[in-house]
Amino acid sequence: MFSERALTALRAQVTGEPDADTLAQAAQGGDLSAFEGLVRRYQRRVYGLAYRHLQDPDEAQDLAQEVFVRLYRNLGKYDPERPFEPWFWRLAANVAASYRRRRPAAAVELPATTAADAREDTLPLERALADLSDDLRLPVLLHYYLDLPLDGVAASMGLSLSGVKSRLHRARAILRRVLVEEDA
Amino acid sequence: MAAICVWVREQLEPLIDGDLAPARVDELRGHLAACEACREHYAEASSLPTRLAVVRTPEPPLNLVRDVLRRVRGDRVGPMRLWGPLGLELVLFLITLWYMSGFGGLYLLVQRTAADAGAVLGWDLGQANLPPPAAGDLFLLLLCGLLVATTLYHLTLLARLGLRLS
Repeated sequence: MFSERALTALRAQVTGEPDADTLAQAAQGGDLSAFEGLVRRYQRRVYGLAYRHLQDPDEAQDLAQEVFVRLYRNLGKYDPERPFEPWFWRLAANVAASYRRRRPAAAVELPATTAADAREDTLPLERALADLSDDLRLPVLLHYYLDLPLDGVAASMGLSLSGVKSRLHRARAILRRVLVEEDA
Repeated sequence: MAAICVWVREQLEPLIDGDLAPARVDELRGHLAACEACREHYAEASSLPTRLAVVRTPEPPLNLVRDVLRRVRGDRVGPMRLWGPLGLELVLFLITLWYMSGFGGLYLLVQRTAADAGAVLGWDLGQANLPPPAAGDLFLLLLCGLLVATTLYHLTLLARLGLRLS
């Protein structure tokens, strides 16, 4: 039976692209182009997390940058014997969770028409997700969007496992009620 | 809405995640079989985790990779490499100062340069003769050349890390 890691390595061999673990090991050895490969590979999901978490493109870009810079600075702590992705998403989650604490959200005054247009353009689930409070939205994004296991979310947010579960249940219940009302 | 519906809907997420005792599960399933409105909530709750995994996000900005690499390169430049040229600049400046006999000599040089510039201006207006050519000083020229080269290198290094320093 192949492990997930072996399958990833096999896929990388077939497509000819180095897998994330190989890139991470090369980057750890000081190869900047390997680090660039990692940034290119994960930029979409990291920015996606940042954007959905902060709801502001400029702040999202700043947070995404911060995640990758922290990755670079912490590459020395990465254990090459273990798969890179779970370690990386855990780091990204930590940075995202501490970002708001370090830097309170700037009061951005959007022109009324722009805000309304942006809202018109989003799907009901995206709107409902945006309306969740920070402490409910972040665990949802970490667990469902980034696929981080519950204990990873708990460690990143400094919560107990039951605390994370409770927040996920509350968040999903709110989203579900909003979506049912929208459908009605 | 009936009280039983409120009670059932409060437990839909734990039910889907398999966090409830079997007896409670049977109770809830019994109600769901009979209540269409609660079934609608259950269907929505069941599909949510999958829909959240594929939630739409905008494309990352084109300059994200470039900005990250710029910051990282800033990290790679150690403090010695960043501020080392400042020491060399200071040494060259002090040698120049010593060679020019301190600030007085430097002031004299500025004064002479200004006088020469004034004379050239006056000559251009037809009010004065052209000033005599200044005596060459190879050592001073070498010092100034080194100082300019070091400063330019240092400025390039700082400009490359512009965002990091701001």
